Amino acid sequence: MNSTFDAFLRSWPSAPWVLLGLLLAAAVYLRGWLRLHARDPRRWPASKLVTFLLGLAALFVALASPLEPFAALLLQVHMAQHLLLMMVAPPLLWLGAPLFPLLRGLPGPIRTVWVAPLFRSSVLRRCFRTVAHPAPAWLLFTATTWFWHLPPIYDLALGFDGWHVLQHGCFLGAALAFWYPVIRPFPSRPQWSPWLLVPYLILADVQNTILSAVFTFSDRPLYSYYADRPQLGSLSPLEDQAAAGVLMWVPGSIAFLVPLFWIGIQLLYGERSHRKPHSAIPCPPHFDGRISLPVFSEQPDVLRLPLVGRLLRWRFARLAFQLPLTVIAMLMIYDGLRGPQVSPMNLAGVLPWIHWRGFLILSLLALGNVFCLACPFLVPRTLARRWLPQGRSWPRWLRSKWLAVLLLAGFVWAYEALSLWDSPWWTAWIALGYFVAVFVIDGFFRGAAFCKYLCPIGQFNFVQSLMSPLEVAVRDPRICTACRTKDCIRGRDGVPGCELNLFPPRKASNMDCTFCLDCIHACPHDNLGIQTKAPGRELWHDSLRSGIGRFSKRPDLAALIVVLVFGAFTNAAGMVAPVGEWQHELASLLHLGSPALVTSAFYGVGLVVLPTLLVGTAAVLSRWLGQSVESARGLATRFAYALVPIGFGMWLAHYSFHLLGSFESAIPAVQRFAGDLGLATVGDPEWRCACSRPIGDWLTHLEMLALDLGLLFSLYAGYQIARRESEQIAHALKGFAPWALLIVLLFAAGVWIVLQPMQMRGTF
Amino acid sequence: MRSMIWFLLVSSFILHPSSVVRADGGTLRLSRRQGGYWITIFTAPMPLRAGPVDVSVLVQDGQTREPLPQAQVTVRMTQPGQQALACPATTEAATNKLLRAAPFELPAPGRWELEVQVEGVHGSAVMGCQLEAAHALPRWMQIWPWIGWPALVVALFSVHQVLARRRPLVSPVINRAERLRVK
Repeated sequence: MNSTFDAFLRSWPSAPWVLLGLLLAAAVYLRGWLRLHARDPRRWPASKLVTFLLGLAALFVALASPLEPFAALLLQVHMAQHLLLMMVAPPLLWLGAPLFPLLRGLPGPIRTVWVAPLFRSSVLRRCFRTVAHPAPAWLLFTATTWFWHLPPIYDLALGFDGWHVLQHGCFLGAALAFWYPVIRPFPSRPQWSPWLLVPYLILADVQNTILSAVFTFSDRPLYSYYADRPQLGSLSPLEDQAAAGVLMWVPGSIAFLVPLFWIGIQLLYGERSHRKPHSAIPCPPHFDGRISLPVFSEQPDVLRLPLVGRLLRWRFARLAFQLPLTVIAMLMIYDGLRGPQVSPMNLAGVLPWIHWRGFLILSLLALGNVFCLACPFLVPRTLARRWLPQGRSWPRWLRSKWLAVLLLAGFVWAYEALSLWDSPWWTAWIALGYFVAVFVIDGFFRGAAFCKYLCPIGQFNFVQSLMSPLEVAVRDPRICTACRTKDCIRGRDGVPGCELNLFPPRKASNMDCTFCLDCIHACPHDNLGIQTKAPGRELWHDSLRSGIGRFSKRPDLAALIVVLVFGAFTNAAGMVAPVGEWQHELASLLHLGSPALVTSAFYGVGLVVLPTLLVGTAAVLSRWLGQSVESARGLATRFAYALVPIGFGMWLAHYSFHLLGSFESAIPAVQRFAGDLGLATVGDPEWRCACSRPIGDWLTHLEMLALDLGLLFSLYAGYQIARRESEQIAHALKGFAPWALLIVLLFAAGVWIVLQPMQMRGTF
Repeated sequence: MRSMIWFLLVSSFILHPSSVVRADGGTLRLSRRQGGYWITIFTAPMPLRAGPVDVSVLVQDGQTREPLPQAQVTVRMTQPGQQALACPATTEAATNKLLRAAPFELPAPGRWELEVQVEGVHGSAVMGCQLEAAHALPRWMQIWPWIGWPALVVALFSVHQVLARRRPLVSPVINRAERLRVK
């Protein structure tokens, strides 16, 4: 095989985003086509699916095949790439009549909330009608083709990636506009005579022929970029240019003449007159975005999954999850107290601060509050219930999150000020203290008082699980309305009801839900499931929630959220090099022997002073600008929920960084521990795995993505809250502005933190 | 909210600036006959800066200009006062398999001597040129698309809201769902 051709076949560029975008489009189309085909197979034959997929394949070949790298060396390859973008992909895509399949393939909410308003927009409809008319479409196509083939413009596109992307985008857009009147995909109803297509295609071919001739017969290379490229084999730049011209001329003309011939036959022999007129064809209902949203849609339910569902419905499922984690926790405590007091060598220095935190936040992102489901600290509670009276109810004056806020802030402070992460001994004692606290508190008080009012980890999980995709929810509310026993909250046959007093039909969020599954096991109607939900949607809904009340009436919850959000940034900032250096400089300036006092002051500012100042200012400004009748305190309480996503983004970025950057650090610690216990089979510790590795760009990109999505979710949540707080859009926007500024400030702080060198944990 | 997620995902797929990345060798630095070879040197990025750079080399037969896939290529970069950098250029590191690429981490800006050594059927050949590397961009500028794309999403969302301004203040669908949850 020719070495150039062999190299060509192996030159596949890495274009994951192109591939993912095309696969996404294919999946949406396929989903919609399957539904339409089931309803009307004659109108939606398999040929439509095939042509649409071929159109996507043509785009893939043009943008993500060896054509792409070789287009930089050979003009003829670049021309082939452009032909695919302009002559092949667009007509194939239109032949698939993509409008209805793509709309039907989209999820209901995106169709109704995002797409439908655009279809109702008179501006967009007018624009589309204008562009889809043959005259503007022809002009756009011709102007685009000629403009981008002007030598200075073409050289510019070849020299800079951004311009090259724009060139491809223009070619594809203009070609889609050009081929639309030719194909007239369903449900297009042109108002102009089809005879117009004859000069339309002939003139397009004429301009294509002229441009091709310029390429083919030019006596010098038109583009300096290709003139400077090394000659491949015996092919000179001028010959390459002529070949590109022929490619444009012959296949290009065929692309125009074949449809011209086909349309001519139809017009001359009146093929269309035998068809029913458009108006007589039964059309799908006019798309107004309000179709097919059932009152009680059956959400995907984890409990319906074959194996997992059965396991979760098993009465001892929770214990089965808890026991392995309890064993790991015990081993960690043992090693923390008895093992070497060097973090990377000790299970207590590695597992909780690198792996557990990372998996915790990732599980909250991908699933839900599964850590509380498998919480090892609750195993002693089962024993406490047998041995201790458990007769008291939690004091009424402590039934809020204020105590948890203090504990959480204290924990975040102690983590850095006392270097908990660097002390296996302290880590072990904290875990041990957790076991004791649960045993004592839940041994004397009814319900899950520790989980609901005290546990800092639980509060973290409750708040972050507002962004999770799963929740324990009622399948059919009508069954709950008819239910008289309410076993889900009272308990049945030895299975307790919800100890956190969350009545499932009125739960409406993950807040305070430990995923204990008690309500699921207790329900006699099998009417509870672990269903998918739109992450974060409850942030702006202020409905009355069982066991919680309204979010807007819970300043303690809002305070918890604010501490968690600012805690995310303060905690991460405390580990970056510039902040550490600044703390040391300040400590030496103040002649302090240890920077602990400065660190404490830093956390005081980060967790108390700054949040109070920023949230308070935003609330006052929001009230003034939005002319709200609500108090500034009330507005701060309401809008605090909008900060949850940006805080979640920062926690995710931070913990993922440690997990993905030092994942292997568990290996030598486990090997060392096993060796100490006399289990030599695991081998000698691989200490090189405990060393910090250089952080790749991919990890920074991942962190940025977490912050980006957090920013957008927060802005959207704040906007939705503002829309609900004010009748008038102008007032809503003004009231939202200070919160948007605060969210952007937090994002900027997060970007700064991510771009700084960060201390690793549990590594050498 | 689910629609928001879809919107963000689709936007990030469509609008991500690295959706279409050109995978050529970059800026052509030198292309000439040396010994029995025709050697062409490309560098990326453009303009060249301190930090990660890529040197790509195309080795062809000096007479026929056919590519020579068996040739061994080594790239060296030197600057007074800096440790010399050397790296074999391989087809594995190149997207275009006609080329051989050598990734470097330039530690400092300024003038660098680039030297390409080719060993193959026509013996050994060395060719070099000088490169001027600018100062490295600040870290945030290197990843600005990752920082900036949410602004584009916000702009699109604003346009969407303007176009959809005839919608009622709160969607009836959302209202109904909310009422049902409260019941």
